[in-house]
Amino acid sequence: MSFAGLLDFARKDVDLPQNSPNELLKDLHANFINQYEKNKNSYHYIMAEHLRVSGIYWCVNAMDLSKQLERMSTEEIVNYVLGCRNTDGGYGPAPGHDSHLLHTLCAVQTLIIFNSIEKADADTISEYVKGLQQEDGSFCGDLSGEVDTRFTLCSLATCHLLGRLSTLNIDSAVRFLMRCYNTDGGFGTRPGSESHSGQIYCCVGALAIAGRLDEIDRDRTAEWLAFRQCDSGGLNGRPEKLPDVCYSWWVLASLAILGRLNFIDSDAMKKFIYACQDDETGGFADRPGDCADPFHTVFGIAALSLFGDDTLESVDPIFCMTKRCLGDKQVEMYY
Amino acid sequence: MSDSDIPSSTLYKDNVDWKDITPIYPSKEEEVAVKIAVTEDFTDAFAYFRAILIKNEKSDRVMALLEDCIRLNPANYTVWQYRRVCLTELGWDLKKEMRYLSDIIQESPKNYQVWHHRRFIVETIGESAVNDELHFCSEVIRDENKNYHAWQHRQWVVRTFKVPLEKELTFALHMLLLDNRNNSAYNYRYFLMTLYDKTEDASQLDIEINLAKKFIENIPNNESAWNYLAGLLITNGVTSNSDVVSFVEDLYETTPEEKRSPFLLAFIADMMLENIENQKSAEESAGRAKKLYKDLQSIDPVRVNYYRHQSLLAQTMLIKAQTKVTAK
Ligand SMILES: [Zn+2]
Repeated sequence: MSFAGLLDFARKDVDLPQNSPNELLKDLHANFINQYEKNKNSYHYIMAEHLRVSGIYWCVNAMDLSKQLERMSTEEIVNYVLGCRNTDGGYGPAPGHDSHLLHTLCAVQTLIIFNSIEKADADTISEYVKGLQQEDGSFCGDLSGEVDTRFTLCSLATCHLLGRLSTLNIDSAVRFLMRCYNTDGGFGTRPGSESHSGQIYCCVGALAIAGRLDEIDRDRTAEWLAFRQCDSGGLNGRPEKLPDVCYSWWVLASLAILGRLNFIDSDAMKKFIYACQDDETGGFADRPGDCADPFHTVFGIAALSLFGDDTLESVDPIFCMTKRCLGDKQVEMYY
Repeated sequence: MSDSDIPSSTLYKDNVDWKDITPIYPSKEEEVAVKIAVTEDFTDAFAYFRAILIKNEKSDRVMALLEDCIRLNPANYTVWQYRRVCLTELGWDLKKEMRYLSDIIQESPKNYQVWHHRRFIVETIGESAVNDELHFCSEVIRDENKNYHAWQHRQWVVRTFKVPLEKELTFALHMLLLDNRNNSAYNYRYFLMTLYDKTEDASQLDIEINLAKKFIENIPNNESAWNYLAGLLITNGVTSNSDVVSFVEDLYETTPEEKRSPFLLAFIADMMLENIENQKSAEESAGRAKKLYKDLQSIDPVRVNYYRHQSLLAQTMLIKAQTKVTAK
C-alpha cells in the first residue's frame, strides 16, 4: 500500500494475491485460445452467435500477437468470416445475422491478419460504412440507430484498412468527435456523456487515423488517463471504478497514440496484468481470481506487447493488430 | 424466483398452438460453418421467428415468441425491430410493455437494444411518460449510481421533453450527497449547464464552483470534484477565479502535510504552470511547481513518471517565459 493509501480514501482497488503469476505464461494462453477454436463445448461464452466474428478476431489476434498464428485453421476461419457478409456490404456476427459496424471491422481485421483481405470487396464494404454516417458526422452501429463514438472508430478504421478513408466525410466525423470532448480531457459515447477510457481510446484512435490529433489538448487527456492507474498497478475505466485488464489496453493504447505511454508505472502495470492470468487453464481474466476469457486474453497480451516483450509481436496501438500484419497500413504519428 | 428455474416454454415444435407454422431451420452449410451446438430451445425459437417474419404475422402468440427470442439473445436487432412493428399494429398496451422492459433492464442493464426500445415507447406515449421515466432512471441509478446507460437515457428524456433545469440539478445534487465521488453526477450537472446554456453564466458558475468546493472540503481526496472544479474554470484558467485560488491555498495551509491529497497538490501545481505561462512570478512559480511535483512523487508513487514529466514541463515553460522576457 502506498502512502496515499493510508489517507482517508477509499480509492477503489483490488489486492493482488500473494501467489499470483509474475511472468507471462505465453504457451498456456496459446493453448487456451486453441481450445476455444477446437473444442465446441467451450465456445459458450464469447462464441455466442451474436458475438462470433468479434470473438474470432480476439482469438486470432491473440495468437498472432503470441507468434502462434500457424496453429489456427486459416482456410476454415477465412471462409467462415467471408460467409458472414450480407448483401448490404457489411458483415454480421454469424452467417444470416444483420450487419453491424463492430463485426464488419473485426471481419476486415481477421482477413488482414490472414493476409486474405483481397477476398473481400473493399468498395461495397466502404459504401456500407458510408451509409451509416449521419448528418451530424456521427455513425450508427447498424440500422437500429444507436450512435456511439465507438462506431466512429470502427468506421474510420475499417475504411482506412481498406484504403478507402476518403469515402467518408472526415471533417464532419471529427466535428462530431469534438462535440463529445469533455472539460476533463476525456471523451464519452455521445455529446454530454461522461468520459470513459474505452471511449477515449475510440476517439483518440479515430482522430489519429484522421490525422487530426491536434484538435485536442494531449496533455490534459493524458493526465486524465494517467489517473486511471490504481495503487495495485491496474487501470480503471472511470474514476472510482475497479481496475480491469481490458482497460489496461484502452488506457495504454490511448497514451501510446498520444505519445505519453511513459506516464504509466509499467512495472506495477505488468505485475497487475500478470496476476490476472489463470495459471491452470491459461488465459486472462478481468481481474485476479476471476474466470479467464478470450476478450481479456487478447487485451492482456496486447497491453504487454505495448511495453515491448521479445516473446510477443509488436502491437499497433490504434488497430490492436500486429505491426507486422499491418505493414504499410500503419498510421504515421507525430508527437 | 422459482419460475425462472422452470423453462418458460416447451419447444415450439411440440406446441399445438404453433402446428400451423413450418419452422425455418438454418441450412446444412450454415450449421457446418457455425460448427457449434447452440441450445435446442435457441434453434427452435429462432426457426419459428424466421417463419413468422416471412409470414408477417402479428399476434399475441408472436409477442410471446419474441419475448422468448429476446431472452435467448437480447442483442438481436431484428427481433426488437419486429416487436416495435407488432406493438404499433396490435395497439399493444404500452404501459405493460414498459413494465416488461423494466424487468429486462434489471436483468441486462448494459444492453443497448433494451434502452433503445424503451426510448421508442416513451416517444410514442409522449409527455405523459416523462415523470415515470425520470422515476425509472432514478431507480436504476440508485441501484448502480454510475450506470452509463441510465444517465444517458435520462439526458435524452430531459433534452427531448425540456424537463426544467432546477428539478434536474436537484436530482444530481441528491446523488452527489449520497456519494461525493460520483463522477456521473458531476458530468450530469455539466450536461445540464450546456443544455440550458449556462456554461458562461456567472451566477450558475458560482453555484457550481461553491458546490465543488464544499465537496472538496468534505473529502479532499476526490478526483471527480477536483476535475469538476478545473473543468468549470477551463475557459479562463485555474487561476482566473481569485476565490478559488484562496480556497485552494487555505486548504493547503490548514491541512497537515501528511494529510494533503495528491489532487490538491496537483491542482496548485497546475496553477503554478499557468502563472509561468502568464509570466506571473515565473521563477518562483516554477520553483514551487517543481517542489509540489517532488512531493507528489512520494505521496502518489504510482504516477512518478507523470510527475517527473510535469516537473520537466515546468522547467521548459520557465525557460520559454524567460527568453520571451529578454527578447522584449
Ligand atoms: Zn474488462
